[in-house]
Amino acid sequence: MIQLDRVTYTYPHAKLPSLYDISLKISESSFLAVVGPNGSGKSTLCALVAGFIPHHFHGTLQGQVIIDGRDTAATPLSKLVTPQVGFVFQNPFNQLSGAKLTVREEIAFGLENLGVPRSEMSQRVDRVLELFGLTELVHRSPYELSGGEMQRVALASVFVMEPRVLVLDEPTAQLDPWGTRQVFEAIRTLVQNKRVTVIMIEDKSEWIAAFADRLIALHEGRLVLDGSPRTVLTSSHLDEIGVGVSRYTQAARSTQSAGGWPRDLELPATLDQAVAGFKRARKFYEHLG
Amino acid sequence: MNISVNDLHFSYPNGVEVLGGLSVEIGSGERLAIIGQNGAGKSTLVKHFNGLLKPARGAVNIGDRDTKNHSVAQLARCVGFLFQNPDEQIFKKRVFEEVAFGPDNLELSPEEIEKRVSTALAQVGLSDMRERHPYDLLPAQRKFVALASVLAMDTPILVLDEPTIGQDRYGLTRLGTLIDDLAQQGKTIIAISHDMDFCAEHFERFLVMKQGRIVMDGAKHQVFSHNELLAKAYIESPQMTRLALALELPGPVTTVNEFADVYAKTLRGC
Amino acid sequence: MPVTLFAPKLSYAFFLPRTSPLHKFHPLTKLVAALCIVLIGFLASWPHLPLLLFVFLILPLAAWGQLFRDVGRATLTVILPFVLSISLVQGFFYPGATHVIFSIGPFALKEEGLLFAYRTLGKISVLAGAGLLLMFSTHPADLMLALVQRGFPNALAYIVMTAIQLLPHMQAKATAIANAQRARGLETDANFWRRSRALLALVGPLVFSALIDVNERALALEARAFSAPCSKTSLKELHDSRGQVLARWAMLILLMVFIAWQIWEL
Repeated sequence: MIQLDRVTYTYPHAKLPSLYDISLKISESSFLAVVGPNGSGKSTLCALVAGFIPHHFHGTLQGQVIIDGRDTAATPLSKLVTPQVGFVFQNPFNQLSGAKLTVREEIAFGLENLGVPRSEMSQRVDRVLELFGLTELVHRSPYELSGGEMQRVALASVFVMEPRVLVLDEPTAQLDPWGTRQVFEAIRTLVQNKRVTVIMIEDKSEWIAAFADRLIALHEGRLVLDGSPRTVLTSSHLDEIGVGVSRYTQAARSTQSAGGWPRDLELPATLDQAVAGFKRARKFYEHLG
Repeated sequence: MNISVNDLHFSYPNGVEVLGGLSVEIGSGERLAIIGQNGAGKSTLVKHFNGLLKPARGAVNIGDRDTKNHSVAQLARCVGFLFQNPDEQIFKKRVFEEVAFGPDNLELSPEEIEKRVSTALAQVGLSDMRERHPYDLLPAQRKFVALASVLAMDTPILVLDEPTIGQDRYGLTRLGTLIDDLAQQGKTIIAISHDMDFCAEHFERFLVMKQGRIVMDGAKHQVFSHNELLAKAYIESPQMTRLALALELPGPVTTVNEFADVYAKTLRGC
Repeated sequence: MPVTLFAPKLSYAFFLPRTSPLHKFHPLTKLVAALCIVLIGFLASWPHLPLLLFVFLILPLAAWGQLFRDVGRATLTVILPFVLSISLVQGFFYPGATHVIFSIGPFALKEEGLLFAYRTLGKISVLAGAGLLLMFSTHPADLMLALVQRGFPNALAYIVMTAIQLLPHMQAKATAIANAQRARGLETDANFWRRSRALLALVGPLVFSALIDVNERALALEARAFSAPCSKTSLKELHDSRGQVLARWAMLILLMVFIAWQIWEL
């Protein structure tokens, strides 16, 4: 459904490409997480899917990006990014339109721009408000919200336009733990309720492992790892490329040689996986002793 | 150089009291993490250390200087402050010049400034970026530029406001190593952070704040063994602490190394 | 970059919500009314008209809109600093004036000057009063919506709205920048040279970060279909009526007639 075909992209005035020879097929309704160190090309990849590259950022693009059979370079931006592809940015504040005074109007902003008739708009907005638990905030100014609340409003504002693909560029990077939790719960709601294809850049491994079907890792513009979340997140290659494995993985690794982690079990990426594995190892020891 | 906070009260102009009578002593060379939910008053507290905010009641002393009687620029010689957003201070065309801004304000000799800038850039790993325009760097690197500009002032006390936000593994490792090195040099390091794991790995003393008050003040293991109190202050424990709790290991465990030790002991005991 | 953890109160400070009939009028009606009142006040040849308009038209309208105290107080705040200075300056120095009313030493207060001062103050009152009444009773978002529905460029309306909403944010940013620079030893109350060097340290980051923000915002707008080539709809409804449409035309015609009359009188 989304296909990148040998894509190499260089930003204008940059000496080196930000992405080298990327080929990737993303199937419909899947949830793809993207990891990689700063500067590895993750945001560039997202901008390509949304069509911001090449329409907003010019630069040199080789290869093709095809979404639902259409080449993004040949399709005008207004036909790509919303209605097709919804985009949620890192900075909650800059994502607010700035033109609307209440949360309700803010969410409707995209629909207004698309010329949706008022009655339909109203219904869609109310549905989304309820879906994301924002009904209490309807009359508040978007600028008076906490970071987590702002990001939820941004997510709702994009989701209400019913895109087929949703791209999230580190939506919780600038949030505190409570905001992060709020946003991920909202994403969970989204994933449970609608068959969108999701592409998310995120480094919080526990959440990735909870939602993603597939995980890719980028390093210096190249695609270096691709597989199931647990496999990629516990791969030793992650350390090499500067992403690093989670502490649960480190804990299991450090005790593995002493038999602290079952040999036949994949290393853990999350708390639950870790608890299960360590308990099993301990039971085994108790049987021995 | 000690920091002495005595019955500190502070309210915003609209009358809302933000700090309700805090008292704390921070000794020279300590590594202190201040944690707590948003609105607890963490930022407000540390802004009193370099005089950006003055007490409404009570006093804050840096060494023997009462902050009420000194300007921010004067206190900047003792307390270096890293703000959250480097883009709200960078204005020079070259990284070198940006890092030199602080020492320049201290009216040091050009040779001394050059020495300090080079040292600071080496400490943050940006020596080969000195001639670049700061905005050619990634946002996370700009944060290190801002940090370098504070380090170049060579203050005995450093305050870091959310230094980990936006950093990848490289950045966190570099930051952690830097904090350990600076502490070894005898500097006092105070950080506000939500990253419990990072704090557990690099800080020894924790100040837990809630609604303008200090609810816990103690060594790392002491603080992370009071799970109920932490939960009430809306703080999520470090990952290893949670893991150890779930496995009912004798605690408190806060880092991977501690976990490995404790876990190995329980296995041997089986 | 990171969201400030204390968001300052960012609501528009000039709009004063009230449950008055005046507030319910269509924004264009109020805009046309304000324009007519101001133009009539300015173009009138009769010196007493501006003040009469203010006292017998603007203030009663304000009272009707439950804004009497606000408009009155705000207008006085605008006018009072000028009353004394304009009266004295024009009274003493109005060119070609001869009729002396009062003199102190070499300074003579002349009637023509005082008359001019009176007319000027009247005009300022009308301008301030009508403008404030419009601002207090009409939310700029509604006014912008009304204008856009009549063909005002969408992009321009967007710029006005964001400028208004983001002003407090810019102020907060400027403060944050000043704090960061002072914390690096910048003295902001030293001699002139020091202060002029300080200017770049305070303005530079503001400009740079504003440019970065603008770029991010442009993308965010694209993500909300801002450049979609269809005509836009609106969630909010503005209530208009035939009566108001007629009233607007009537006011404009009245204005034209008045202007014609004043020109003919000349």
